[in-house]
Amino acid sequence: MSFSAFVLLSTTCVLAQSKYMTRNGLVRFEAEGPIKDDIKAVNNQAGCILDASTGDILFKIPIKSFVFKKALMQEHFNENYMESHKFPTAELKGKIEGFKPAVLQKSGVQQVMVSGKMTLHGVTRDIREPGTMEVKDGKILLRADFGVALADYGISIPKMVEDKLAKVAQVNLSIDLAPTGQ
Amino acid sequence: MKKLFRFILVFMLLGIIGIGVYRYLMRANDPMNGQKADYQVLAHEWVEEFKINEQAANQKYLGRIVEVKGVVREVLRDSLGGMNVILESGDSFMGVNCSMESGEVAPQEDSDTIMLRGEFTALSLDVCMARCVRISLPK
Repeated sequence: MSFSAFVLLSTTCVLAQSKYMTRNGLVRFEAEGPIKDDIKAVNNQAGCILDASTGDILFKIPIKSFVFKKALMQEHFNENYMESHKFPTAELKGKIEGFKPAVLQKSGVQQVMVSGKMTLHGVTRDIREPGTMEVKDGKILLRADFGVALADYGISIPKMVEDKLAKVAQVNLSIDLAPTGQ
Repeated sequence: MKKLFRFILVFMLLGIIGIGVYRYLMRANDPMNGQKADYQVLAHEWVEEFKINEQAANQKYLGRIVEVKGVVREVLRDSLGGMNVILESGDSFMGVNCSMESGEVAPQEDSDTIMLRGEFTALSLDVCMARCVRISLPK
């Protein structure tokens, strides 16, 4: 999405009452193969906007904000696999299926299904993943765990590290959305 | 005797190389405190630069160490104990989003003018920087 289109969406979100957002969503990533090597990273700069009148949702995640324990692993992740110099962000643009504003009045954890288009490493694919949603203290808490097959997004694994790196990375999203500005 | 000496020497040499390789592979990210900045910017001017030409700004700053000066708009915490400092940019929505190194002390919201050093990572909802540390304001 171009910056101008993004700003337009963002501005619309600020003006409308029904928008929820976060600037510090948590994304955890794990891609350990059969040989354990602590291939894990955390990112606390996932941006997310939810239109609570339609269920439309947008995630934007800076790839270089993933922090690994080992610097070398972080370098390989950015330079060899994600090529973050060419593809600095990952994006998910979609919808919470069957979303109606009335669900925000319900208490407790609700099962939801998010479908849409995910762009990673410059490749856009349709996705449909389950998650949970909970309304608590005026915030919407979204949680999801899903796998991302690296090959689907054109991320190739060199033979040398095949045993260390999982073919399907596990991604955990923990997003607390607050009402925008108003 | 000579053979034994040679064996010990080779063994020690291999040991030293092994420790060096291990330390290289296991090293953590270089602390941001000791790094030299590639750019010094003001938060509001920096965000404006992205608004004018996102692609050019991305190319210029991606992966670079930047020192940014601005007024603290908001301090955010996450469930893992992480802290993000959002600097005011003059834009009602976008700011400079700095993910702080662990151990950094939270600045005061709305009043503090501070300078942060970190690595620019991308434009998301904000201009994002990772591994940020607070540094002294130049006199």
